[in-house]
Amino acid sequence: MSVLKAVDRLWGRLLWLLMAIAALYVGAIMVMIVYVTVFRAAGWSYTPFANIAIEYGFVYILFLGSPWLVRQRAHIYIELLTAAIPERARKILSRGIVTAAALICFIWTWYTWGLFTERWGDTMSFDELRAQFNIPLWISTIPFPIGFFLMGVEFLRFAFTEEPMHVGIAGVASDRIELEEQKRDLASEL
Amino acid sequence: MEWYWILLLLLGSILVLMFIGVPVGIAFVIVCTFTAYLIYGRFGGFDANLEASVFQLADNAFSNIAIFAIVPIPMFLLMGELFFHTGLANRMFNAVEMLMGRVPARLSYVTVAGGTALATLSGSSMGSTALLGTLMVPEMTKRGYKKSMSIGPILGTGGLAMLIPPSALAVLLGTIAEIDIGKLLIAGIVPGIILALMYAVLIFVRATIDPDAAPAYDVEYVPYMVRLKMFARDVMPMISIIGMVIALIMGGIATPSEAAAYGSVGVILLGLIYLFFAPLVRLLFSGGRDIEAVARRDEAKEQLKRFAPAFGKALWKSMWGAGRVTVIALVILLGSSLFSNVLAASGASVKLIEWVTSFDVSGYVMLLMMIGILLLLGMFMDQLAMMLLTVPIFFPVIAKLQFGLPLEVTQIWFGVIMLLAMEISFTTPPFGLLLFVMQGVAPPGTKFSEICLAAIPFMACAMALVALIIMVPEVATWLPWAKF
Repeated sequence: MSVLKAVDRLWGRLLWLLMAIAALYVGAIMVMIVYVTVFRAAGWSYTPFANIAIEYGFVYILFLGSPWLVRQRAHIYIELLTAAIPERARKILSRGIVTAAALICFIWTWYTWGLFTERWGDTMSFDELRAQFNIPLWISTIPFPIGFFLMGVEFLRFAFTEEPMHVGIAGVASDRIELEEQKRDLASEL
Repeated sequence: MEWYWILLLLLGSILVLMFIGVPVGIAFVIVCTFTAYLIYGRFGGFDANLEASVFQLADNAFSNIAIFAIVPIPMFLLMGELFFHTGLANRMFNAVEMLMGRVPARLSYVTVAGGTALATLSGSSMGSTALLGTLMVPEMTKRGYKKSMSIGPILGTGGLAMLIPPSALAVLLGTIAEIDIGKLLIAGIVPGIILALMYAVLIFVRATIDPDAAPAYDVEYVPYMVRLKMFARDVMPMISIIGMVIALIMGGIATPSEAAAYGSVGVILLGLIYLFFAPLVRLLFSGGRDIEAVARRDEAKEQLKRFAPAFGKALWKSMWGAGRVTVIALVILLGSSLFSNVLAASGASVKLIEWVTSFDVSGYVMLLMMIGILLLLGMFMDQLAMMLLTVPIFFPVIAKLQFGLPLEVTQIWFGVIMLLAMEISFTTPPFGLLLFVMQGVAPPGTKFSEICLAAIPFMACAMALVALIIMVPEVATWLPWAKF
């Protein structure tokens, strides 16, 4: 049991790290925009890859941060039925929901991984919208299988945890979590 | 399969999945994958069909997420988070309170003025409501204010964040609806100011009719010069940041994405000025050996010592907060792109528009029905989910209806109405988000029903504004196309 807990803790840290990279990327976007606009206004040459990095970055931010948010119950889901039914039924329903969510994530993992390997092997497939940069298509595909796999694992984890994903308090889960964070921040700042 | 069955299957199954508690993004992925399987799967076996549908959806999702136009979402969120975590929000709010002086229902006005400024600068109605609820409600309760005069204004102004730029939600709406984000942001300014004024009038009328609802009390006299100094030091710089963002967009000097990034940089610079340069100047130029000067220098030294860890922590917390909400918004964009894709590929969106426009009813009746649907959905779901579900259907329909306005103007006009409708639904019982936020921060013993009742007059103001914008579209559409 303790080995499982240790693995879970390590896994949690990995997901936190991925979310931290996503958060840092948000700060990096600000820096990149300032860099591009200042250099453009000054008439200096700047790398056009900055804009590409920002655009591609959104897909990476999405799939790097999502698994951590699943773990934190911070995605948007509505607790209406799960708040109204008895605890035993809530636990059964919640476990059914996370299993279905994990299943769809693994389906997407499987097929987008196939798409990635196909594009990885094809040295002539490039992002046609940004044709001048010769960006291999696999770069736009790889976040999908990784992100969906990590999310699938996290959803599946809730099928086995003692307290399921749905806690039975009416409302929108992500909003409740954001409010808790706001209150914590306010308490430390006031 | 007929288009209406596809549409019913799509909407019905998404609503059922959301109702039972499936995460909104995942509900869209499930339903859209299997609808795409029915539409794209013409290659034979189950495996090949599913592969074709996932390939198509994944490529489409990438094209819809990897776009520069959504930069204002993380940047406005970052700006708001920085504003809170650097302590600038508190500083400005305290200044507004000092500036108000002695008037009946003083704290209610402070809430509207401070709340509007806070919501505007932070772009976060949740943060603004939480801050105001924590700071103001206990104080107002202590001063004998009734719940309607303490909680109501906070709930009202909290929703203004959706309307007045920088509103991350407006950017998301503009992105999903594929309309001009800059114009939509600018279009929210005049309605936002009108709404804040309506709240002020409402407070005045109620305080006049029932003086006990918000009793006047004596406050310490602050000389006018001190007030002026306070305004210049603690309010003007913050307001000028938002002014800069708006001016950059309106003047065509920068795109909304660039203006948003410079807004964040502006808040960081202000943070540096207040937390580092101001104490440094005090340390260097507080001459003299008297006790006061020595104390000032010691305090400045202490502030400088605390600066690096505190500022670093504020930056990190801001990036983390902005990153977290950005990921949630991107999941919504992922769902939106899948939904739009299957709607378009099934032919359901075209057929729906043909069907809706075939009725011999005024466009305004359709508009009211859409507002009604938004208010109804707002009772049960989050604003992002509402947007996801309704924008791909409402905007194409609105584009086909006749309101006597050019297409682009109609879309911006409807965008503002939609934001307002969602703002109202923010406080619609039983699941209006701000009601829960308020219950979380209100003093113990505050009943949920009291919070709901306090919100009603302020929501009535917002509804009156919706009616005004429908009757006089120029309220929203004048500023984005104004020539100065």
